[in-house]
Amino acid sequence: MITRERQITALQVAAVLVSSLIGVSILALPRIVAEKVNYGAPLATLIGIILGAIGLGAFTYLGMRFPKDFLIEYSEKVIGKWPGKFMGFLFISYFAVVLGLVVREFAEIMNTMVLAKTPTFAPVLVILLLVVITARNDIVTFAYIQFYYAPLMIVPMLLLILIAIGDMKLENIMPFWGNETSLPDFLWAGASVASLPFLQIGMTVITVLIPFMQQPAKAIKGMWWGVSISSIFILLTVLLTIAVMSAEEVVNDFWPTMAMTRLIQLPAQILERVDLLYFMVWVASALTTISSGYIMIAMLGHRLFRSRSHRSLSILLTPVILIIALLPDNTLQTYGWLEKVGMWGLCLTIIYPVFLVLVAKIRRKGVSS
Amino acid sequence: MFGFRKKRSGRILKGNGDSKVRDEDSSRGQVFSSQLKENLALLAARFQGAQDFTIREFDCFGKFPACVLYLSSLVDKEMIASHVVKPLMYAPNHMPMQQDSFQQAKPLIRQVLFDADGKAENQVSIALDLLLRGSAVILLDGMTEAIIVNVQKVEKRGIEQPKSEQVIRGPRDGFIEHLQTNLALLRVRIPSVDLKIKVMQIGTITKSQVAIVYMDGITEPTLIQDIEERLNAIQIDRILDAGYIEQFIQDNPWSPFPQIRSTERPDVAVGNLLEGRVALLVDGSPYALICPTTFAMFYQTAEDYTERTLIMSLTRMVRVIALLFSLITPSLYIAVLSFHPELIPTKFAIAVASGRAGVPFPTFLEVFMMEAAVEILREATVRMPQQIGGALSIVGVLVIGQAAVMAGFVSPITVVVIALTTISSFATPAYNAAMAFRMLRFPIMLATGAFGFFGLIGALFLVNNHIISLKSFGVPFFTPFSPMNFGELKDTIIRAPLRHLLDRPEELHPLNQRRLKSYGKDLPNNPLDPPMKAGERP
Repeated sequence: MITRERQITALQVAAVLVSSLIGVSILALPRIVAEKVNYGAPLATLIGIILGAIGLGAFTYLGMRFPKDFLIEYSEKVIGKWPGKFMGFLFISYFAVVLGLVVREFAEIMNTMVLAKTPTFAPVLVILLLVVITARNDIVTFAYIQFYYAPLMIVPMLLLILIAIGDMKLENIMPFWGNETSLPDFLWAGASVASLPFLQIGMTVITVLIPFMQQPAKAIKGMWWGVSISSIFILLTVLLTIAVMSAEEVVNDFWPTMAMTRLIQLPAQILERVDLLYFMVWVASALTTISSGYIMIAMLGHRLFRSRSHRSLSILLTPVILIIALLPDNTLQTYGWLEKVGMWGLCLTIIYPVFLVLVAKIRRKGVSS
Repeated sequence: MFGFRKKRSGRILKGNGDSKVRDEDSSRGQVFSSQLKENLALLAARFQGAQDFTIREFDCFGKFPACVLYLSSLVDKEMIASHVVKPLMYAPNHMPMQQDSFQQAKPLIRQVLFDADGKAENQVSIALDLLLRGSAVILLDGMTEAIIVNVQKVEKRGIEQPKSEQVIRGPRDGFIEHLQTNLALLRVRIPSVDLKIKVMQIGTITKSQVAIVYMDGITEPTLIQDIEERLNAIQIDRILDAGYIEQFIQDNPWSPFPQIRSTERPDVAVGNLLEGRVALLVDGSPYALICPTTFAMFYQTAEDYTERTLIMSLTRMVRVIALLFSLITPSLYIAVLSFHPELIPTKFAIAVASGRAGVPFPTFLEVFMMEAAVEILREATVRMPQQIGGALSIVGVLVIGQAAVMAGFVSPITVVVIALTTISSFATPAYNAAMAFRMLRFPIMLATGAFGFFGLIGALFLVNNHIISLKSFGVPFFTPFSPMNFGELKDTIIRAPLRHLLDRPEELHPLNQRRLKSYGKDLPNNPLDPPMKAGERP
């Protein structure tokens, strides 16, 4: 009755970006960066986010230029039918691999943190189940769902900073350009931040949101809000972790952010372990990110194969992602694969959209704004 | 039980349903003939075997053969005697006593039966229908029309305070089973021509009357249209309660959550009508259905608006917390105790452990069994005769609980957790919403028992997503939280002062957004304030 197709507001776009851009890899992020540039981690993270923002900006621009089209359709319009389809297929297969690995990464964290004796298969299956059920919703409902979870992630994080402020040591983050680092190091570290799956998913998810927006022209506003809130969040997490643990310590732990919450104590010893509370926040953030990625692939597949709805595809995808998630032998291998795949993925998520923008401008395709 | 019976009756219906349809077809369009005997035989044949069908023959004005037909179970016999038969016995002086003046019903209705609610009808099928609804049909020899007089008398109970939605401050009247009385309760509160009532009949056999009530000029017309379409699509043999209608027209029949609020209180119905919602009343049901409904309506009561802001905001928060408690307390207990006992402070952990020392079951099983027991107790208390209900529930709760702890069957802290959950779930004003939460805690407990905190979060993730994805007549069920409407948040978990609740809910797209002109801006200051009295007006 009163249902309208295009309902997503700029605020909801921002919220989807926030809850997608804050993903489970944030637990490993301080280690990944500190391994490369030690004390320069926060700066390198900033570079990474800026790199990611370029890709996101390009996608947003394309979305506004082709307000009714998804990635597949405007690729076809800009670079021709079959190349566009091929790129779409590449996108789907790339994100299927990334998603499988993220699910695995999350399951590994679960195994280490709370379900020590459970075989990896069990959490992987449960995560996939939760995500597939969530991804059955339409995009508008999906935006509502993501909107609901965004504050549930931001508020605990702000609280964490308040609690941890006493444990932070300024000498741990100085010098902020790191010891014995060079510019290529920073660029390399930044690229590895941008190649993290949650950034990639967050960057691309906007392509499925814009066709459902009330006013696609406002997508840019939503994007700015989303990017700034989540980048502040990510930066603060890295800063906080390094400030509490120091860069030397950070590289010794697989998930330093988690370790940092373990170091922190609530006043008056209300709870013995704060990290378990934060574990819930990480679970929520992981689930939202993975479902963002999932619904995005399903939507892209739906447009590519012209299926009736994205639901049928979301069911077909499940076994594929399940198999990919079970391929790596251990945590170390998972991260190795993630990094390799993610680096190549940058071609898809940053270089490709920028290329599309340029070609679209030259060929004068779409609505120029 | 219902499913079984429905199947059987459905088959029987099919058996003689065809002949019924044929009968009705044969009488459709048929008109009364001028022969009294023929008309009488026609109707008597239709009512063969109906014990309460009565034919009273008499001579109109002492000359013309006539008869009154009615169903004795539905009518007021005294009224028939004094208002129908008696006036027809003696011709009034001003009426010419000619045969042909009785060929028509109009003069009789206007001059003889003037104090009865009568009308003329020449269609047999319509007369039949009205006869079945408690009218008396008067047939005169030589007249091709029947006079139909409404003499219905239905037994109904008095207006009482609704048992399921009691308030301390606020009106005490509630809907009853009689539709006209319920409509009167609404009409008395809204003396406006904009209050519109559409009545339709649903149910091929019961022909239950369903009233669609709405405010013209406030309610979005497409909403009314949509509801009418949904109602028209119902082709069932019976509508015995508003619950039938609710289950047909709700958007997601598989959801555990009710998507239409039902209320026994006319003041609640009126409040919702004035916000731009539609109320559905069903003859024979003391409940009004309010559509569309949002989640927030289930923990709000009528009292929230009659008492003062701060107190009622706090009370609402208490209700929300209670709702959450009833959903997750047992699961949280299981997660902490059997997966992460290190989470709680050491001293308390030791106390809990010593309490559980003799308990033979894992926490999950212990909690699950106790929760199941409480559910059995609750259901038994509802069903058992009222006289013994109180006594037995005390025996059940106190004696069995105490004995179970003493026997080392459960730990004392488990009993505390169970009690907290149970009591919390009764703090929700809407019984059906509370039930949804009560039942959902079992699957959540199962998930927690299997995966600990991850299971708990995962299950809550699903429940949450389900609530957000629900829609009631196109309105997202979780409005105004998600999709967020900042303006409306002031009447959700808190209730802002009435003078700040200026607008009707936006998601209903009311035709008239404002419900209050701003209040308090240009009111005079207190005239009894001492400086004012002294004329020192600033």
